[in-house]
Amino acid sequence: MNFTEVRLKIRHFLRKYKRILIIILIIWAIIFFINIMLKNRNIEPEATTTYDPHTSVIDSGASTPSSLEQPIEDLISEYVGYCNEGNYQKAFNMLSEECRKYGFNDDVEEFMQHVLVRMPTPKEYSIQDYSNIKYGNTRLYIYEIKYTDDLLATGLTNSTYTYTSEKLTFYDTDTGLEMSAGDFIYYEDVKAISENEYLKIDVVSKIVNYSIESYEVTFTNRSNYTIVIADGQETDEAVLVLPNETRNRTDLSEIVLSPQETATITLTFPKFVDDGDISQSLLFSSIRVMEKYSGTGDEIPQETIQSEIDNAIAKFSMTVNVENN
Amino acid sequence: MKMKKDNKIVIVGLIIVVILGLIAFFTTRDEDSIDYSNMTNEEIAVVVEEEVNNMVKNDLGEMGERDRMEYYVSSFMKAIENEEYQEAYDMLYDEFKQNYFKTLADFENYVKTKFPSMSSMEYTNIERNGTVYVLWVTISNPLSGKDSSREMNFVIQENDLNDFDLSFSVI
Repeated sequence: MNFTEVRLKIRHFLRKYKRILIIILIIWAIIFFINIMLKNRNIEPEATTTYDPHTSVIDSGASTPSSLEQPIEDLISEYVGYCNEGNYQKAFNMLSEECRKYGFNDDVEEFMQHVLVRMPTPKEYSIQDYSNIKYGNTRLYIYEIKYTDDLLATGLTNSTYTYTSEKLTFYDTDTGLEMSAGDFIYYEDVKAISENEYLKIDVVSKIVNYSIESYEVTFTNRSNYTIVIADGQETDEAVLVLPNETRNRTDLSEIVLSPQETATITLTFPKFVDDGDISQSLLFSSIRVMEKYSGTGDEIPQETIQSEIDNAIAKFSMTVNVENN
Repeated sequence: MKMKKDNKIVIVGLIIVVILGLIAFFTTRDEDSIDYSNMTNEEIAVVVEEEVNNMVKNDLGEMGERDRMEYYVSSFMKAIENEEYQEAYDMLYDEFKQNYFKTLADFENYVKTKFPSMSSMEYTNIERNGTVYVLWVTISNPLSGKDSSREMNFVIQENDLNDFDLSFSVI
């Protein structure tokens, strides 16, 4: 192929694909100029931080709706302000009725003691959405509030970096935001019963705090014998049943009913409200109806204890469903 | 005479290219349009300072928060080393100044006696509490050996890039 043939071929190619080539050239020129403009764009640099107060620590995909961010910040500011001023009644009045009643027994003195443990002197604070959970149809926004001295004002002179904290919970209602303090999350009427000829177990209510669940349970002994529900002689005598495990009580005190006795007892179990598990039931796995019961003190020989257990009139377990449907 | 569809596309494309070219030309020209010839020395100094500040801000904007906090502490220490006490004093949080160094002279006396004339810093820890950062720093004089080292806390609140309030543990 000589030079003339090559030239003719190129000319032929250019004529044939002239429009396509022009269009490609135009597209390239557009990209080129847009690139120049983007390069010259004046982007204001920003101070990026990892601090995102309204995104949950437990689940970074969950955030507080933007419409609630400012109202929550305002409530926290007002609450801490009152506490710093020592105006405990006003801070107490900001709490939901449930929180005042079940978290602090409607007692402002009790609330004041709670505050003074965390804020013995006026404090600065920072907030962080800790977790967002759903209870029924209500979404609860649990914030962790860290209280510190004014670190900037002292530079930590003659002190070390310490803080106290508490969880404040917020939920939206038709009448506005409700707030709970002191790790109180919510109260629930359970009203679940399990019974047989010997015993009636009535789970009246539960109080959910951030790291514990407390159940108010009424036991009614229908028999003329002593009934032992828990005295430490068996394992897992009174446990909270979760989907994949059971939890023992935080306080392993005895639950023993005299004949025909009715007793209301609070059972408390360790459970984080945002651990993803749902409490299913209370299981009393070693209930004993005793013909004779001498107790379990050190002065009682082990043989006597064992003999009384062996001679029990009845041994059974009972389960009370506490799952919120 | 009707124009072919392909020709219309080409003409529209060319018009877009010309418009984008003009925009790119003028935006580029605006960027370089500072004319120093009619400025006084003071005005030039202000503009240059602003340019430098913008460059620092751009650099800080690309840093993570830990690096930025360390930079702020370094800036403070560097100002002290260079005996630019007013500059270092201006970095301090107002209430901290009220508590420990009511006047520049107080501050100057303190740093002259307590801070090494030349210092090397080792950042051992940092914690963020909301918008406030606490840094644990070991400061030593490289000319005096390890015995000269001293543990200190710095507390920083960043208001914006290169705009911060600082305090430190006074001994």
